[in-house]
Amino acid sequence: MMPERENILTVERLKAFYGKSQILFDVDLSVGKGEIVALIGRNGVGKTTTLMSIMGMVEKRDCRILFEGEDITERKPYQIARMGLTFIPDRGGVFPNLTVEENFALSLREGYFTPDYVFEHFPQVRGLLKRKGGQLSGGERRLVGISRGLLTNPRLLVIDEPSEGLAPAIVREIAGVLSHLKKEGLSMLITDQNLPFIMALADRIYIMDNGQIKVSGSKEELPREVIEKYLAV
Amino acid sequence: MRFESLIFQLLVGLSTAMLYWIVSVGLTFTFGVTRVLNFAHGSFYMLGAYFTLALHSLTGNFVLSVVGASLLVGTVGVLCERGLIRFSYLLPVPFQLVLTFGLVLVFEDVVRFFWGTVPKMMPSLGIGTVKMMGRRFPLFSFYLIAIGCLIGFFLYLLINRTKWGMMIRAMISDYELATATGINPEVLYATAFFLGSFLAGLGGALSLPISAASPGMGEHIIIYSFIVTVMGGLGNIKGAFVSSLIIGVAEGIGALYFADLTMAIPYLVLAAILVVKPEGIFGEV
Repeated sequence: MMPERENILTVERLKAFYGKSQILFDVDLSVGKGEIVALIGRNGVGKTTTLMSIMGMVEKRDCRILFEGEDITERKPYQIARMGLTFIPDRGGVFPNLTVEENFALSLREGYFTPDYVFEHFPQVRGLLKRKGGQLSGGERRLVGISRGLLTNPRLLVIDEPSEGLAPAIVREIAGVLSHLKKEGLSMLITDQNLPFIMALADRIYIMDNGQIKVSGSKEELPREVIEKYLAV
Repeated sequence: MRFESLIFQLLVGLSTAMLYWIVSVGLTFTFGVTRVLNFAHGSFYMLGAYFTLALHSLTGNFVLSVVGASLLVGTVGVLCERGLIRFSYLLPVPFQLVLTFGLVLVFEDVVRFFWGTVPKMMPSLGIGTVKMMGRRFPLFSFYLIAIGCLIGFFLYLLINRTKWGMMIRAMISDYELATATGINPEVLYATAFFLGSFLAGLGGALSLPISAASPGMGEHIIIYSFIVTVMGGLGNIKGAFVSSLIIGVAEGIGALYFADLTMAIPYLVLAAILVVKPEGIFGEV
C-alpha cells in the first residue's frame, strides 16, 4: 500500500459511454497533491475518454468523481474548469483562430502563475504573442498550450498526450517544463505513450487496456516488461 | 442620361444591399455560433417592422421605435432560443429546420391575428430627398448606407476587440477547449441569438420607410438572407457584407438593363459564384 496522502482527484468506478456503447469499465484512479500521475496505454484504450469524462465532456453513469473533496460527477465542463481543473487536449490546447495573446487573455485567472512568470520561465513564448494559434509549430503549440493552462492557475493540470507528434528534442524540452512545474507543487494527470518521457516525469502510473485499468503502481514498483507489454502495438 | 441612371441605380442597390446585410449578418452570425440555420430569422425581421409600427403609433418617435422594436425582437429571439431552439443543438439538422420553420408559421399567424393581413404602411417620416444630377434621391437611402457601414464597424469591434467577441471566436474555433477554459456556452448561445435577432428586427424596422409591413415579408427576406449567407460562406461575416453588396448592386444595376429578369438576378449571381467557389466567397467559418 502507498502511504496515505491527500488526493486532489479521485475517480471511482468510472463507466463512460458514447451513445449506447460503453467505453470505460469501472476505472478507478487518484491523483495526490503535488503528484504527476500518468495514464498510459495504446491508442484507443480509453485514455482520452477518461480525461474527458473527468472534465464532464462524456456521458457517464453510476460513478463518482471527487475534486478537492467536492463531488463534480454531475458538473458541466465549464464549471469544472472554473474550479481549477484545467484540461489541455492532445491538439495542443490553443485556440487556432485567436492570437497567442488572446489565448492568454481568455484564460488568465488570478494567482501565482502570471504572464510574467510564463515569459520568465519560457522566454520563447514572448515572441509568439502576435501569432495565431493555428500558425504555431507542434512544439510551440504545446508550449503555448501549457502556458495557457498555467495562466488559469490550475489546482490540477490534465494533459492529453503532451509528447505526441513532437521531435525528441522538443519532447525533452516539454518534459523539462513539466518537471519544473512539478517542483512548483502543481499536480498533474497526463496520458502518453512515450515511455522515457513517462519514466522521467511520473510518480505513479496507471496502465489501461480495453477501457479498464489493468495495472497500477509507482514507477519503481511496476516491472518494465509489464509496461512494455501494454504499450507494444 | 444613361450615366446618371447608373449612379442612381447604384445608390438604390447599395441601400437595399445594406438592408440585406443587416439582416443576413444576423443570420450568418447566429449560425456561426450555434450551427442552427434559423428559418425564423425572417419572422424576426417581420416582427421588427410590426413592433416599430406599434411603438411609433404610441410614441411618434421613429428612432426610439426602431431601437425599442429591435431590442424587443432580440428578446423574442432569446426566448425562442432558450425555450425551444437550444434543445435542438444536438439533434440532426432536419429537426432544427422543422422547429424553426414551425416558428415561422406561429409568428406569421401571431402577426395576422394582431395586425391583420393587409399590408401596413409607415406614416411619412418627412425625411425628404436630396437633389442629385437633376433627380430626387431619398435621403433615407443614404441613412441606410451609413447605418449599414456603422453596424459593420460596430460588429468588427464587438467581435475582435471585446472579451465577449473573444469568447465567441474561441467557442467557434474549439468548442471543447472553450468549455475547458471555463466559458459557459449557454450564455454565449443566448447572447449570440440576442444579437442576431436584434439585427433581424433592426432590418425589419429600417425597411418600413421603403416598403409596407406585411405578414409575408419574412419569407422574402429569409430567402435573400440565405442567398447572401451561402454566397459569402456560412457563418462568415465579411462574406455576408460582400455578398450583400454584390446582390444589392446587381439587382439595382440589373433593373436598368434586364428589367424582366430582376427577380432572377440574385439566384443567377448565386449560381455563378457557387460554380466558381462552392464553399462561398470567403468559405465557411
